[in-house]
Amino acid sequence: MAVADFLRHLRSQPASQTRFLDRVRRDALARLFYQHPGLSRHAVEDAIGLALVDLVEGKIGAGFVGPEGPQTPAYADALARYLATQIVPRKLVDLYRVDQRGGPKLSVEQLCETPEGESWLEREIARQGKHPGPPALEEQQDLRRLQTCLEQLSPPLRAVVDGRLADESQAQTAARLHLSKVETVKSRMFSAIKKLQQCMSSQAHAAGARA
Amino acid sequence: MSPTPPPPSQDLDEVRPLSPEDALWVEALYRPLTAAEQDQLARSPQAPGRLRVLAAWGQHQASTQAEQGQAAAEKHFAALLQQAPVAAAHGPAHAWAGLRAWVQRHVGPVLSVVVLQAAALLWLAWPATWPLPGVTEPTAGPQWRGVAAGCAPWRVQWRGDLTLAQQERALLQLQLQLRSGPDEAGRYTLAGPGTAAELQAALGPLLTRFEANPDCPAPQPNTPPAKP
Repeated sequence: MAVADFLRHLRSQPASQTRFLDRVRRDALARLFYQHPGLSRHAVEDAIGLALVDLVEGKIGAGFVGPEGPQTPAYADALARYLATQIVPRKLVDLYRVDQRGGPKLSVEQLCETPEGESWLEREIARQGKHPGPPALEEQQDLRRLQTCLEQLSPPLRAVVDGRLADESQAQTAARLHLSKVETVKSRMFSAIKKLQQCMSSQAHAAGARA
Repeated sequence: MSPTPPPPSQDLDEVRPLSPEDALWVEALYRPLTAAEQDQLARSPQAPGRLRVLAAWGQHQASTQAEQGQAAAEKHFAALLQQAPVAAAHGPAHAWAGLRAWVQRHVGPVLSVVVLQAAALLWLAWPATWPLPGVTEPTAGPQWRGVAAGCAPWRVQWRGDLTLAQQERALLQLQLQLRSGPDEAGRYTLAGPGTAAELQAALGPLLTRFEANPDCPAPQPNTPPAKP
């Protein structure tokens, strides 16, 4: 009943609608892509859409209990987090279940086991102790460094990277770039990874030297 | 004087095959890795730097997607919320009553019970969140489609191997309405927004025939949300 009240509230409050949706999307996108950088963008967006459709149609959320009343920001935040950490990952697992996107099927446990926890990347990066500062700040710095370094890639490498960022498969990129072999896409992407690693590392060292 | 050798036409990296581990670093940007594959990369001597590249890549994807898709998502979420009161007010009983009325009109009051029971069994047997192959592919268009149109502008013929549940799921996922059928040629009419090209892209793999219904004008394009 509380979820129905909340949805009624959202209908009459466009600003709350936007805030709730933004929270669900940002949380889900950040969580999922940090766990699996190679996910399909379309699949993730579809999973978010399916979760919201289920919520609005009353198929999920009946047992959800919020910290405060359904018209409060705390309720909206808690429900958004519940969707992003529990429902969207399950929808994504379902979308990957048919195994038409290549690779292994996703595991619900891997995506949902620690709602507040860390992804394998966060865990490994922290374990290997290469972050000199607070993790959140370093992650933000790494994002900026990557964005700068992407601009410095040579056109052939950039074309492959841009294709992947646009959700292309290796075969689609090969076709777009008129490459006869998919292996060329793989090789260029590997070169791009190496160059990005070198570039990000030198930027990090430069930042350290300046500090 | 010896001739100057021509410059290499390709980067050396392009002709050198990747090692299994190097290939896995590439795969990490194209698909989810298994736990074993993640462990393998974490043990790599290159791990500290490359894991940070992967993590930053994931952040970049998330932030780009969040910005680019937000406007379209807002529009669809608002439309979805506005449709919801009808369904919420009547619930599943309303949907079943509608289906029963439709079946009674087209099949007959006695048979309708059998048809509905079969439909219910198929429905229950089909996992609630199982996606239909093809429908959630990138070319399938957005999930969010408002139902509109006063008549049925499209006429389709399902692929022979599709079950009733699969047809029903495709309609639900695209929020299309079945208006009539099958006719003597096995065709159904459908109502819903979107252009012929959009619907054909979404339903194409499931159909053997898709055509405009001459009895109903095709709707104008309703500025479908652009996917990033």
